[in-house]
Amino acid sequence: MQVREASQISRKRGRKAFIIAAAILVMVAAVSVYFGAAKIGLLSALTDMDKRILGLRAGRILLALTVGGGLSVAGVILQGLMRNPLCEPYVLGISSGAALGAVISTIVLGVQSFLGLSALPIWAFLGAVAAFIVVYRISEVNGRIPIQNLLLTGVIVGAVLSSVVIFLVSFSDKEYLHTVMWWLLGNLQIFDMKLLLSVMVIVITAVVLAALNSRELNAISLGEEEAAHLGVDIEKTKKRLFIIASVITGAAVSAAGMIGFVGLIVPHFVRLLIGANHRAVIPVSFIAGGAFLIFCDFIARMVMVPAEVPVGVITALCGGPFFLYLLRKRSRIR
Amino acid sequence: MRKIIIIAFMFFSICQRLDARQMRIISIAPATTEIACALGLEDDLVAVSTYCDYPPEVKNKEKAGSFSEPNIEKILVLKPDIILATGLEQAQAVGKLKALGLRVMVSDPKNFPELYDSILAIGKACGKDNEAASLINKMKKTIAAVSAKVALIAPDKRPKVYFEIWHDPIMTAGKGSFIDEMITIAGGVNITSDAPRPFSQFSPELIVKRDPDVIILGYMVKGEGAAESLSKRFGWDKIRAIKQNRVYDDIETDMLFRPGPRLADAVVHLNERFYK
Repeated sequence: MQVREASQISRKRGRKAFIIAAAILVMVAAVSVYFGAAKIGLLSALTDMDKRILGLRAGRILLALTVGGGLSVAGVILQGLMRNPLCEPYVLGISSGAALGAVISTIVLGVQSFLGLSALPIWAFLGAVAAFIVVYRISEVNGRIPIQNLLLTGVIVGAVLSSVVIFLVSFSDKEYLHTVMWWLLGNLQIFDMKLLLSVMVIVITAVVLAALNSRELNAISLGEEEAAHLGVDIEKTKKRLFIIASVITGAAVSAAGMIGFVGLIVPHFVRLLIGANHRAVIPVSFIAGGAFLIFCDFIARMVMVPAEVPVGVITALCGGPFFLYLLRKRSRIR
Repeated sequence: MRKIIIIAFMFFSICQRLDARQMRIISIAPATTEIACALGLEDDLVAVSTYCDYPPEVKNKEKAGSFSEPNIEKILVLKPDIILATGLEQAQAVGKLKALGLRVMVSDPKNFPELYDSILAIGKACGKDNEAASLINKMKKTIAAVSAKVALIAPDKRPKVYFEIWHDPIMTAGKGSFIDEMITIAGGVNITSDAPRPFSQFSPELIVKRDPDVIILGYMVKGEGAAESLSKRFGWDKIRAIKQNRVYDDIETDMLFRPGPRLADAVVHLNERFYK
């Protein structure tokens, strides 16, 4: 009886949080679409030029929603699977793999960088998946994947891949290094509608798949033994969820570069507010992560008009102190 | 054939020895290599950087490391009388070379008057004062010819120009860069001259809003279809320069970016594109 009440309360809280997050998202998106470096006339009297600029911003906001939401869900999955709050695509080396794939396509293969808009994402995606497979294979012992192995392997493979990126970049032109650095810091400028749409389709599909697995994720986050008792095929589920997380990461990194902190902060914040039930955490994190990144990109666009700041810097500057505050607050309650 | 070359080489080396003392110059930047060669110091260059590729003959010279990472040991072994370098990116290497007691000449011009001073200084240091003066005269003449044409065009009739250095993210040239100065001299109006730094990231929506008449692409890495790819950018297809097919990627990038003698030619090229 009590259990049922508790679950009802948590479901209610989840729904409420989803509605609030969605309302915030709509507000942030509306402000972000209307304000920018170029001034827009009143809504009632939009010129053709205004409409074009609004379109440009809308594309960017959609990308921010997709990438921010996607990275948050990837963070939720990885943290849940590993029962470790420090897990993120970055920690597991998946982001570094995506970055290496992209750098190989731009520096080593050179010419392709131009069609960059189409060649880069594929390479980033391949890099993410390859890094994931390497990490997965190395940490596998007798068909099982102990969490410690996975974490350590992820960190080390990530470090090695980052070194390879730096090695490759150090051979290129100075000017080029600058643009690669920018890309590594994250950048939400989007000019290719096809790329935007394909990233959106990939990420949203993957997020829906993740949401459909939230019962299994709940079980695993209790502990692997407990999950096995609950009838979950652990290794299969883990593999499936890791692949979902790396697909999301590859797509996000390919379109927007490496944006840190989102996958770490947003899931934490959401869990602190509504508890750890993934059935609610996954959708709320997607919406909240999207709103967070749209907000950060808005600041990145506005803070140094007419120039722009890398959005990854803003996510770190906004997210870091906020994260520390939450950490302090939580430890005080305890 | 080989004999002739050897004899010619011996002949020249004797001539040079007679001609006072030969300088041993190392240039570790493409721009200073171009200046040195334009001053007739090509034979005195004992080594250049791996990035130096103009004039083409310097490609066969000994290499003293890359532009950003000069090989200090190799430079020491080559016993140069003078080392030519550029600013900022090379400051660290320059510091090291100076600490080793080597004579380093840094050419770091930010505009044409400073470039002229730089050329004069290099000429003076290498005993080519007259050559430096005549090189500067030639550059000034080339630029004056463009300015004379531009002066006839009313300021509000000049094309709005967007110069794209890179596309991901959007990078352009603002005030304080040679690009900005050259666009103005060549009779254009740089729409991104309010960028906070000489080379800066820039808001794409402002470029759409400012609607340039001409777009010049100055990418470091050349690729096929760069000009066409702009029209495929979401929200950019209605920009005047793109609608009227006035996106140009045919000016050699090194000519536009290396602060050396070829900047004057770059002004001519820009002017031709602006008033095509």
